[in-house]
Amino acid sequence: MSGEMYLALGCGAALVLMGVIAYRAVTADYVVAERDEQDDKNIEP
Amino acid sequence: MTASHYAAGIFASVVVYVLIGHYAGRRVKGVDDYYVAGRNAPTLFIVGTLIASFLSTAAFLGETGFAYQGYAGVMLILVALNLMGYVIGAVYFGRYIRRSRAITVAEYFGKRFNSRRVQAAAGTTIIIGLSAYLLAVTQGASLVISEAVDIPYDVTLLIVWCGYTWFTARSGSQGVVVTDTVMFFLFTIITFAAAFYIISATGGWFDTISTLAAFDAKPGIISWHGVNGPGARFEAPVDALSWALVLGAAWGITIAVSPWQSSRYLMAKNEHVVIRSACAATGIALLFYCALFAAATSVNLLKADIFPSETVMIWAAMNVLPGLAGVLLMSGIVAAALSSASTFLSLIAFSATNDLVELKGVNEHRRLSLSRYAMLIIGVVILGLAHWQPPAILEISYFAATLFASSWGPVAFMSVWSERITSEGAFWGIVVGFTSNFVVKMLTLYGLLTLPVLLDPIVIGILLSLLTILVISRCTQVTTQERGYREDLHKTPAAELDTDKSNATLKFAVGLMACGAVLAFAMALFYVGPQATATNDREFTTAPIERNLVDER
Repeated sequence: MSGEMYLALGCGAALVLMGVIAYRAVTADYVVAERDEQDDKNIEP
Repeated sequence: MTASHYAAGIFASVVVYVLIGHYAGRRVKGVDDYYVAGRNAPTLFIVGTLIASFLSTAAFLGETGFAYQGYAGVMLILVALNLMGYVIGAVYFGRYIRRSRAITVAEYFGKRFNSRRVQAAAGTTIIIGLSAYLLAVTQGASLVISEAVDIPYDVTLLIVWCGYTWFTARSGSQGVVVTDTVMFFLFTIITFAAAFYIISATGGWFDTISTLAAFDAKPGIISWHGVNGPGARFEAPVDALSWALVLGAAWGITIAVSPWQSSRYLMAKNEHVVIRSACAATGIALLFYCALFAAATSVNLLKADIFPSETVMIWAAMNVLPGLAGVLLMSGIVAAALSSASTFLSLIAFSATNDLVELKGVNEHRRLSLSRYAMLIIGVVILGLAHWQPPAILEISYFAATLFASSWGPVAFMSVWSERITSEGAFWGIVVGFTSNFVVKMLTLYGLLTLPVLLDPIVIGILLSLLTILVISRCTQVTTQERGYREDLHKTPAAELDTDKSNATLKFAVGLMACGAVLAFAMALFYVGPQATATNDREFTTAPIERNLVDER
C-alpha cells in the first residue's frame, strides 16, 4: 500500500475515531444516565 | 477587475460586520450577554465561531503557501491530526468548563482550584499570548489589503483595526459569534468555489493530478511527503512525517484547550451543542483544508514561482478567479483574519477585567463599561505595536498559539480528570509550561540552540509543565473544596438528560463517522488512484529512454 493510500485512510480514520469518541461519550453520559434515572424513578414506591 | 473593485468589496464586507456588530450590541443587557453571548448560542453559531476564530491569515497565507511550495500532503497529515482536538477538547474538557458557569476559561481554573492566583496566571497567559497572536493577525489582514489594492499599509491597518475593534467593543461575544458565523460562511463557500475555478483553469481534476504527478519543477509535489532532497524544507520523507506528527499533536492540544477555542463552549446553549459543534467543526474544517490545499497546489500549473508563496491565494483571486469571485475570495481572506482578531481582542479584554483584577462592588452596568474601555485601550496598544513592529505573521501566529498547548494543556485535562492535581501544581504547571516553551523557542530562534523536531519547544514545554504538576502536586495536598468542585463537575446536569437531544447529538457523531468513510473513499478514488497511475505511466515512458542513454554511453 502506498504512502498516499495511508494518508487517505488516515484522514478518514481520524474522523471515524472522533465520531466514535463522541458517540461513546453521549451514550455513556446522557443516554445511559437518563435510562438509569428513569429506572430509579420506577423503582421508587 | 481593478484594485478599486477589490478595495470596494473588502470595505463593503467590513461595513457589513460593523453593522451586524452594532445591531447585536443593542441586545447586550448584561455581563453574561457580553462575555458569553447569554450562554444561549445554538450549534450553527458555535461551529461558525469555532472555525472562524481558528482559521486566520495563518491558514490562508502561511499554511496555504506551504502547500503551494509542495507540501500539501504533509499539511494534510498535520491538520487531520490537529482537528482531532475539537472532539477531544469538547468531550474531555469543554463540556466540563461549561458546567462551571464561569465567564472566562481562566475563571474556570480559578473556581476549580479555588485560587485567584491560578486564575490570574491563566489570565496573564491569555493577555500575553493572545496579544501577540492578535498583533500577527492584524498585520496579516492589513498586508493582504495593502498588497491587493495598493493602499499604504498604515491606512489599511487603520481600516482593519477600526473594523474589528468597533464591533467587538460594542457587542462583545454576542456580536462576535454572529459576525464569526457570517465570516465562516463567506470564506468557506468562496474557498470551495475558488478550488473549483482554479482546478477548471488547470484542465480539470484528473488532468491536474496527472500533470502535477509529473511536475518537474517541484518533484513529488502531490506525494504524501512533498518535495524532499537537499535544499528542500525536508530532506527525507521521515523528516516531513515527524514534523507533521509533532506539530499536529501540539496544535491538537491547542485546539482542545486554548482560550479562543474552549471559551466558545461557555457560550453554548447546552452540552449537546458543545459535542455537536465539535463534530461538525472537525468534519467541515478537514474538508475545507482539502479544498484549500488542492487549490493552492494546482496554482503551480498556472504559475510555479509566486514569491512570497504566502500570497498564492491573493494571486489566484486577482488572476484566476472571475471578477466577483475574486473580490469575494479577497474579502474571505480578510474575514478569516477579522474573525480571529475580534475573538482575540474580546478574550484579552475579558481577562484584563475579570481575571487579572477583581472588580468587587462594581455593578453590572459599570462592569460592562469597564470591559468596553479595556477593549479600546488594548486595541490602541495593538494598533501602535502593529504600526511600529515589522510583520512576522506566521512565526508569531505559530509561536503564540502553541504557547497554550504547553501552559494550559496538562493543567486543563488534569483539572477534570486528575484527583491529585493541587492548586499549587496547577499554578506552577501554567507558569513553567509557558516560560519554558517561550525561553527554548527564543534560544532556537536566535540560533543559540538547535533541537531535533521531536524536541520542539512545544514538546519540551508540555513535558516540563506535566513534570512540574506531578512533582508539586505530590508535595502538596488537595483541599476539600477542590475535591468537592471536581466531583460536582462530573455530575451530569439533569437538564442535559433528554432523549431527543441525545438522539440528535448521536446523529452528529454518526455523521462524522460517515464523513470519515466517504472522505477516505473519495481520496482513494480521486487522489491515490490517479496519482499512482500518472506516476507509473511516467516511470513506464521514461524508463526506456533512460535505458537507451545508458546503452549509448
